[in-house]
Amino acid sequence: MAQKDKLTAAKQESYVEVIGDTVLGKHLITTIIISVFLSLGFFHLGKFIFPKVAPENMVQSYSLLLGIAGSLIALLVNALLFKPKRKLLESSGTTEELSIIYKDLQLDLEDERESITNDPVTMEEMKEQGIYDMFFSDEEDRKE
Amino acid sequence: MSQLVIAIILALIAAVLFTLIGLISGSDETAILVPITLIVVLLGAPPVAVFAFFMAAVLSKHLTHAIPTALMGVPGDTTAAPMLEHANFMRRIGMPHIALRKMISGGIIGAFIALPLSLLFAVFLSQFGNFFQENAGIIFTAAAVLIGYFSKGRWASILLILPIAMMFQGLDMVSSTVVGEHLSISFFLGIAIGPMLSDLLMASSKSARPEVKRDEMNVYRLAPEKKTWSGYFPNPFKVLTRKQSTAVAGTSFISSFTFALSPVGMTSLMGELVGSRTKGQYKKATSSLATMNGVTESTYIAETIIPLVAFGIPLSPVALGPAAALFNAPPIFTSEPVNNLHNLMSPLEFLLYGLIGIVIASFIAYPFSMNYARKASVFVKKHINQEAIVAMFIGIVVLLSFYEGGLAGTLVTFTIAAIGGMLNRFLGVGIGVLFMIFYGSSWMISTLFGL
Repeated sequence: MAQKDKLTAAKQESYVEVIGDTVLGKHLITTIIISVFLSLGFFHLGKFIFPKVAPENMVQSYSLLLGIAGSLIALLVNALLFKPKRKLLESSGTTEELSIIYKDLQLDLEDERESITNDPVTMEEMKEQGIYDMFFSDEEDRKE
Repeated sequence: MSQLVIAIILALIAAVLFTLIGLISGSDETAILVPITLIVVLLGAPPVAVFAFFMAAVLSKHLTHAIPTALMGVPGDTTAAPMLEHANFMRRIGMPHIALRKMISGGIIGAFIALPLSLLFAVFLSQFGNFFQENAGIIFTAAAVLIGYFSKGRWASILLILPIAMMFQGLDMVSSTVVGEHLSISFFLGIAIGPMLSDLLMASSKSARPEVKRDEMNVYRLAPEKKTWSGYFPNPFKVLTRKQSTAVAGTSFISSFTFALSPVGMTSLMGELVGSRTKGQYKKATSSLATMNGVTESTYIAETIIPLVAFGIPLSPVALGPAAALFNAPPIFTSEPVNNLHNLMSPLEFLLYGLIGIVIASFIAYPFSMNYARKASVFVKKHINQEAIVAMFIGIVVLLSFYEGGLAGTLVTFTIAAIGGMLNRFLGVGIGVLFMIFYGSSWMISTLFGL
């Protein structure tokens, strides 16, 4: 599954994984309460207001729309209220040797080079993307 | 004319909304597409506009689901799962941006192939439409057995068909007595959010909590982008090599005719087919990724259009899941008797409004994901907490079920979500099986007891 490296959390709080991401239980309860309250609240507000201003057969639909607006406001409020419980590492530079990765994945870099050399279209594409050297530079180094 | 304008506006809204939703990793298609499509239907949008909205939504979502998949190694949704292996390889060698561009370009080609082809096939199949409609109850029951047999929880799924049907009918009886009419949205919203609710319930139970407890935050790695795109609207045929374009076109062509197979299964099958014929890991990964994302688009479109145009009853995994609201959104759309897009739109309208949907989505989601993928994912990961996302969906589901049936509706939804979610999680009873049982339950129980 997902490659999720673990780092030690600074705080000794335990997280819960909900649909693939970590959350804090009490924050989740708060956000759900806010969201349900605002969604249903706006819906009922609509049912109270719209009969006075809109045609009768549209009251339900308009109220629903207002309720959805409530859900979106809840998203905004909740997003501002808490910080995400995930860490993002923007690892700089791919200095890791390609060959180490290939060895790691039990792939043969020589085979890969051969397949690239034999296919001018891919070779051209790799040069365009500026990644061609990554595959071939150390080979030249070795020759030198 | 005004229908056309509404369709264009709704397609625009769908494209923007689902381009953003696609960025959220793990956003399940059914849980998201069903409630949002329902809102559009219930607000009274004309059928053609609903269709344009749905098409734009599907295409945008499946273009941007490639972003978390390629850049972070987290599947954007279930159909993105088969792409992880190759995406992870590309990420490790520091070229996630290339993987992403290949995927997105494959996706857009797949969509444009699938729409006309699946429509043609559907028109051909529609001569059998009456037969399917008259025997819908038996067909759903047979399909529940068949899908159950091929799901992870094979025998458990089959053994539970009658008990689950009994539960659906029991809930229907109680809720229809309270509300005064039969509920339907509340039922399938419950099925759709089952997996999400089971996570929440497990977290709240002392005995199940260890299953979902994590001591540390999840950590995501995002490799730096090597080179930004020049120009705003890249040509997908230039991003792919000629061989890759051919592979995408061929597999999209084949998958446009399948409407009963699981999209995830088709995606991995077609990816494997292309990957196994390609030498060299870089080429294998990029070709497979382009193909697979093309197939996620084409199967989704075909599995929506074929049952919708040919039969009017939801007879495919996608029709039973993400596209459910196009078939059933009472009181506006119903599939028993058939009164939905099937009879409200002509094949030509399907083509025209489908094209409006996918063209608009292409103009928004495609350049967006090619140009701003990385910036956008950093923003979501850094600023939007998962709690807010989960809470928003719970809020929307409560709202919709309450809208349909008041407190009884909401209770029905959460009863089904709790039971369905647990059955899915612990016994491997597929969401598709639950949907099939729901649609077949009235026939099963009334036949069994001679009602």
